[in-house]
Amino acid sequence: MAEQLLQVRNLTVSVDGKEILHGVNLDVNKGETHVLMGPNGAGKSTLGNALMGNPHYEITGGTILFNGKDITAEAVNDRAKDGLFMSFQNPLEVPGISLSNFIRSALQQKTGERIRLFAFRKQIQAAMDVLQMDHSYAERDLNVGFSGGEKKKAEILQLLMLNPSLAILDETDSGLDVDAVRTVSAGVREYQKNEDGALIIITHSTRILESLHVDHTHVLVDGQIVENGDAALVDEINEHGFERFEANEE
Amino acid sequence: MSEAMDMKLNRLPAITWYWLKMNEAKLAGVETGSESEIKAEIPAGIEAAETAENPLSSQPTGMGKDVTALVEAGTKGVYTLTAPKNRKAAEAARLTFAYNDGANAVNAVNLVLGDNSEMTVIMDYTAEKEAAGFAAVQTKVAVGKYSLLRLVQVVRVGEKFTFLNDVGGRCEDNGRVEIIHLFLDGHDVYQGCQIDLAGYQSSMKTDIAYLVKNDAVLDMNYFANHTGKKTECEINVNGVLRDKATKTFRGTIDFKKGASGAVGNEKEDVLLMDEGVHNQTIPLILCAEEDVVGNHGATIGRLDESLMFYLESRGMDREAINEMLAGARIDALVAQIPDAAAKAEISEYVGGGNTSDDD
Amino acid sequence: MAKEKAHVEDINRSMYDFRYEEKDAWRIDEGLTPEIVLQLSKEKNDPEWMRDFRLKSLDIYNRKKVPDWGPSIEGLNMDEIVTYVRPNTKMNQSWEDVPEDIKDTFERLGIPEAERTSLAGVGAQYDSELVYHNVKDEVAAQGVIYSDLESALRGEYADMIKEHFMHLVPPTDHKFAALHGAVWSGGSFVYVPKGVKVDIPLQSYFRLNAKGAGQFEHTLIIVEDDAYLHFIEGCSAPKYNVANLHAGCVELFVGKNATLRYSTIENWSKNMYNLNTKRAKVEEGGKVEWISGSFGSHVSYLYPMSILAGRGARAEFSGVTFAGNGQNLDTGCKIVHSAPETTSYVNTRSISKDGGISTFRSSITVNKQAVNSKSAVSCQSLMLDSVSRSDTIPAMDVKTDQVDIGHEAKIGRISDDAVFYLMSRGITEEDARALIVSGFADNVSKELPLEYAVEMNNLIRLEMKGSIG
Repeated sequence: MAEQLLQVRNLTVSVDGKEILHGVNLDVNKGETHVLMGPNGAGKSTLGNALMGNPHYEITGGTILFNGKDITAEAVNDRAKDGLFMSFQNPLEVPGISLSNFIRSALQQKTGERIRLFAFRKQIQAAMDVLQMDHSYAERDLNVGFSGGEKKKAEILQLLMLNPSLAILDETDSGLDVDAVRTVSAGVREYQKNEDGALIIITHSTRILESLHVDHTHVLVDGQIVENGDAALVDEINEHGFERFEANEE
Repeated sequence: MSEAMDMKLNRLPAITWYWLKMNEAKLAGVETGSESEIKAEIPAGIEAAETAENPLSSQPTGMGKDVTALVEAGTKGVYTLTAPKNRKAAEAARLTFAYNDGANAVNAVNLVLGDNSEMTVIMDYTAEKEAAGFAAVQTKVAVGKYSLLRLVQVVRVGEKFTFLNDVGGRCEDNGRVEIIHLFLDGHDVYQGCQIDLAGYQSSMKTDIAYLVKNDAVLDMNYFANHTGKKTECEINVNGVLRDKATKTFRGTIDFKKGASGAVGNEKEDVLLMDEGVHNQTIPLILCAEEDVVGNHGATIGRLDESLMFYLESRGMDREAINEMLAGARIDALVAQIPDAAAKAEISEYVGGGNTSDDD
Repeated sequence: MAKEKAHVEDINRSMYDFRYEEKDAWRIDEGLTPEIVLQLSKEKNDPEWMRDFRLKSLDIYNRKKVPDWGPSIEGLNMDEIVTYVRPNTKMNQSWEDVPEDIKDTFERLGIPEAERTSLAGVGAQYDSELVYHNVKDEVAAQGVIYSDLESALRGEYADMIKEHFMHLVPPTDHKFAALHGAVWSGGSFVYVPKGVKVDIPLQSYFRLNAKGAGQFEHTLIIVEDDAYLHFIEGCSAPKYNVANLHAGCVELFVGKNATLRYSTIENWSKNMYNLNTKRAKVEEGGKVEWISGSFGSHVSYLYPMSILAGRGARAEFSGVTFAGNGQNLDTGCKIVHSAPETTSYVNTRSISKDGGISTFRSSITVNKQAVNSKSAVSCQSLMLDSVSRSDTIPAMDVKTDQVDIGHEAKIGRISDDAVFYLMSRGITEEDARALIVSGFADNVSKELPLEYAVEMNNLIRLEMKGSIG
């Protein structure tokens, strides 16, 4: 039966002293794909960042349980070690370290063991093939000079290599052309093949969802979850937008 | 009684190798002058007064103590313009300093803004084209909370004139000063400007344009002193050097400890047009505070090749292109003068006789 | 969530803080008099011109003032510093002949390993005297001379050396150049003949190991037309209570269309006063590349200077300076464009932490005859806290119009977003900051041979558990 992975209870989050999320509740089980939608400014990215532990987003109330452990106050890197991952909306450039070395060290941090170079290289190249990334990107400095699409692919590459138990994709399809969205979707589907890999896909358009299996959908408006549903909710939003939810809230 | 002074001016807040000869400027044998008349046009809402005491006497300025001493020796008092609290003066105040041949003039001016006020002051320094002489004007400003001072200073003194223009001021919380400096004429022109950004979120924007030609000299020292939190400064310098002109630009952004959240940007662009020119640029950033962002940039030399090509492909020759773009720099800043009458007058002055060589 | 920030650990010095008891080594009298200089000269068996040169330099030294525009060197008392210490060994050709404790010092610094990885030769200076010296056969066969400077004064190249010695950095240049001229001791002489390309980097080590000893080594390198050389200099010294001085001098002569790459990692211990003078003169079509990492010493004055004397000559300078607790590092570079179509490129990074003071000081001088010259300078500074200082003092002096000179400088702090990003991949905050700082210094590390880059990255990223990059 469904095994609990993430439990968010009454989460309130503030940024620069202003409260953005006013008591959010969310449950994600192992292997499930959740979609978080909402109009611009609803607080979707805030939720993603708060779950990942970004210090810029202050948790002022509520709890986050991950695999039964209270991670509300846990450091970012410890959350990553626990199995949390976030694909960033605007991945930063980090000169001086190559993409492949970066992934290799992150893996070494996670497992605590040295990674054998040959096996690693095969693995990363296979993942790059799924994402139709030229192998030369592995030796380039992390995100330096990458186009928007290439940066997003590099994020999904990290997703595939680090294999977390819960991946938060923050507006991964924004700024991508049709082909790039298709490739990124292929990468996400590859991740979904792992039975226990759970997903929270944050998006305000639904292009990336077209070929993905979705278990639950949540609608966030003005810092609160106003509707929960299944995959059908995505179609409804495609048809009618968010008007219904914005009118309903007090 | 007048004693000749040997003066040191425009000293860098942090000096460097002496052999570069850029640490400061020197003037020898300067005789004490006397106060010159200021022609003033004061709009409603602004108070003008001449006071014997100078409440801003301890305010440091860009040129330094020697100029303060020179000005104090030659003046009986200080001419003060005040914008009272909450008064936003719609029209600009105009102060004209018209110097004669053989002048030896000094003046002290204070510009004081009460909290929540706004004032625009245009200071125009003029003399006949062939005039020779010496003048110094020291302007001190006190910008109150949430107030805005727009200060335009135009230097168009004679081709044999020596002129010292010194500015020093302080901004309180959310106070802002916007300065426009136009250097259009003069033989030896020295400019100093120090703004103390002491108040929380206080800011300063300085736009400078210059055209130095023949064997004239322009020596500048700008200093943004950040002590308050979230303070901002922006210094933009655009200039042209022709013939055998010499120009020294010192620009310092100083982030003192405690100025967290401060941002400083400085940019100088110098177009060198003849082989006899001499350009010195020394942009400093001094920093004792972690949480700041500082940037400075300088481009010195000839026009970008690709731009040259583009304009040439439209039928212009190099000389004409240089003339056009040289004038464009000055024009761009003149267009920003926040007073229609002054703008028109300066525009005409610039368009009339300034872009071609003497004949 | 914990908001307090972790920090980049101070460079781990303990690895270098070991020394040996001095063994009946001969020491010069303290204090600097003409008698002492004469004694030194006699001991070295100087040719007459050198003896006179030393005395003239001493005179200049006594007349010149201590610089007042940079960090204070008050803690340095010249009268107390012993200027010459000589251990009880003669020149050695092979590693096996070197005395145990001296060998051990270099062993711990990794020199034998470097030898094994086929570097051309290692000249190592132990307290003002070259101890170990070895030139690989293949390099010698190409006609490349790599010897200690003192013995070269009396050899085949004596005249060449006399023509060049302290012509680029004359004793009149500044007080410590004059001091150097008076008491210089040890150092390397390298000569690369026309057209010879030396594939393997030559390297040199210096070490200070006596109370109050100063090092005044002189490096003279002549690269003839169309030749190529990469020379690496790296040094270290243990900690003392008495002020220690390093007033070395490096003179590089780069011929037409020749290239000389000069790499240095300076890692002097935290009581050292490092007043070093380095200068290169580049002829037509030639190129000098400086790669410089400054990490150690209490006070540093270091501005490698390039004189672009021939048409089309070029200088490139990549530097990193890391000033930590108790350090005041005043570094930068000077470039003089003295011929048409010369170009220069400067890229520096500086890091200040824990009360350290880092000053970037530079000058780009373009003379009247340097028509069609170009220069691009980029300096970036990283502040790691608010008790440190970082100052940027760049000067440009341009005396002709047909040039393209560009300059940019930035200062800021480590981006919280970048830290968060790295942490979100499982990296600890401490490691994330160290990684970012390492990446920040990559303008230099990527130009260094791997061993040096690793040493440099280790200097920066200490408490790393695994190895990254």
